[in-house]
Amino acid sequence: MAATSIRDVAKLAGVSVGTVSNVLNRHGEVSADSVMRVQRAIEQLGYRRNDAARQLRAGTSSTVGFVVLDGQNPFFSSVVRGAEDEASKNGIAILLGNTDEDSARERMYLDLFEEQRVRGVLISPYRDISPRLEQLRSRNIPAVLVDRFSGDGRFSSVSVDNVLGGRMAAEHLIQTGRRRISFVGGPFDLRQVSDRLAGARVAVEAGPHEVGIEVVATSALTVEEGIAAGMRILGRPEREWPDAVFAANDLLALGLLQAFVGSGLLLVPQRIALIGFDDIAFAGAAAVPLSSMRQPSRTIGATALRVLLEEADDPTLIPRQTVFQPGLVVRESTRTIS
Amino acid sequence: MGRGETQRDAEGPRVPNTTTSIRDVAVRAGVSVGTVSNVLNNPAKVSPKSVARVLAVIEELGYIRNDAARQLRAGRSTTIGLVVLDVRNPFFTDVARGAEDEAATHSLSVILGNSDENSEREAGYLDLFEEQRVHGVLISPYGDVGSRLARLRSRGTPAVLVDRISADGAFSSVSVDDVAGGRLAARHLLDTERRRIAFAGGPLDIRQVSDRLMGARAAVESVPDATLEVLELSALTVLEGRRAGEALLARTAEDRPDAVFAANDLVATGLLQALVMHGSIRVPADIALIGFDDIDFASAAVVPLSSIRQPSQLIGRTAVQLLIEEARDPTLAPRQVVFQPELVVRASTGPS
Repeated sequence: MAATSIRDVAKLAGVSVGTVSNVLNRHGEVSADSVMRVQRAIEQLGYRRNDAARQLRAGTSSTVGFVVLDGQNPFFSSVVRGAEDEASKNGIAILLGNTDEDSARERMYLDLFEEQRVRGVLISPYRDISPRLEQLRSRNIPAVLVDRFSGDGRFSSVSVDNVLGGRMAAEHLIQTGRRRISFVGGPFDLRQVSDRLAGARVAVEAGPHEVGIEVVATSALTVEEGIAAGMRILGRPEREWPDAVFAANDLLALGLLQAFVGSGLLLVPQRIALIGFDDIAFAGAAAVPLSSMRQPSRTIGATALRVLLEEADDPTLIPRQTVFQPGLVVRESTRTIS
Repeated sequence: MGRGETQRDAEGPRVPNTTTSIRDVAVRAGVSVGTVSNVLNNPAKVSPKSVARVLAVIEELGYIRNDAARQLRAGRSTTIGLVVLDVRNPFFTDVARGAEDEAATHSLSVILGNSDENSEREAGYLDLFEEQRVHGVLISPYGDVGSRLARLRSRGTPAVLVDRISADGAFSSVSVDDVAGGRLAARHLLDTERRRIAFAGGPLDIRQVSDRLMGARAAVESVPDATLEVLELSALTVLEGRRAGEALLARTAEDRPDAVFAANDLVATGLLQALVMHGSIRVPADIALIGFDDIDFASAAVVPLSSIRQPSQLIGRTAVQLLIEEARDPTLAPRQVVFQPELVVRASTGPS
């Protein structure tokens, strides 16, 4: 499919190459019938305007496209910053697209970066998009997954061990005497979220038998969703409150904290311990300084960019999975209450 | 300002012309069109002398590879390029979010470049966006990019300044009145009986920073016994804020200011971390603290942070609206949209 040329399109449509070119360039002098036939042929063959793109290539191959899940999350800003530092050493500029956890926007940015013939794509995918990334690769645009392990090993990836991180967070809560843990997070088709929960479950199952875990599902990993989840928890009868909350990321944790602190009761850590994930810069300055799982965010970004450039230079390289270990950062929000 | 005047601002011996073609380049360089094409696509095939000659002519005529770009454009790219000063500042990601939301309602997408307060990177992104024939450019400029943007516009790509007023009115802009914001912040500190005020921010050649400082100065000068010192920082980051805090901790109590106005909330957050974590200086009892931007995290800080609120998402949305209108009608006169900042009082500037 990658070799489909404008000639193939012309042949299938039964028109001249010039006509195809006119259709592509929206010149007016083509009959409606020809336009339709050409468009059908283009669709059937999966043809893309590579010829034009190739001409631009000299200009744009010094560009890497980076598709992030949430541009407003300081964790991703920090990953991007790491990638940028590495990129500028190599004379490369990074173009950023924010999918905002939306598959349609994700597709759109990938299309855009393909059209622009970027040197490669870094992506923190929303759902499984391997087929689309395979397609990109067949068109000589390598892709590296960021903050996401490549389950089937088809792509290189740079991530932290989220299962381990989830386990460490829950173990810390259990070790500091907490027994009724709420995991707040979602959507669960985000691999980071389901992995962190899976790790927490492992810790709970290995812990004393009276330890339990429940899930409070959120529709996104944002401060607002954290506030809403906190309100839902406080809305229950007090005996049904958890004594610890593990939030799938720090934005959720900061939202939960706002809800808990806003209640005016001294809830954190006295009644409820709270731990987040990512250790963003604001975690340490929160109303109650927040315990968190640290990810080496800048290193993740820099490593992903290096791997990507290597693959762009040598497409025969075998995909590599780079997995960093998360680190537990203990602050006031999970202090032991005797 | 009319389009003609703008073109006079453009750099280079000749006003770049959107209609310059590969043929013009070939004629002027005295080579064939094929040679020009090879220089662009396959320079190894061409003698170094010809490469140099063609590149010089390309520079002179302001030719860019329009033909290729036009094919990709299918009329006009559906992408807006946004260049921000610091992608790690939640203010800018909020602006970007507003821009994305507005762009989406027009079936446009936004791609983001982070200049990181670096002129070279800024120029790099502008080149890139020009090559990609974006629908338009939104930029929170670091260096003096007026002539660069004029050239872009003369080639059919409109630009709107974000978070920065266009000093000479050459471009549309959407910003907040930073001088008024600086005055608001300092006046609030003076109203709560602080007299020894420190301004923490930098670099001072960033317009937002110097404007906020100017506003603060005006407020301080109107109160006879009040003083203002400047703690100059190399960047508006949490880390630099922490350094400023550590510098204050190293001073004797009587040498310390009784209030700090941080040029943005990241700096204020860093200051707060340094002061509160150390424990010997209380906020606000010993030092009151106010930031700027009112990012989401300001209210969740260990001491909830007073700040000057900017309507960040609205800034992004409005900028996209102006840009789309200018792309549709290049004859529109530039418009300056200036929002008024608001004081948000929280615990960090409570009574001492």
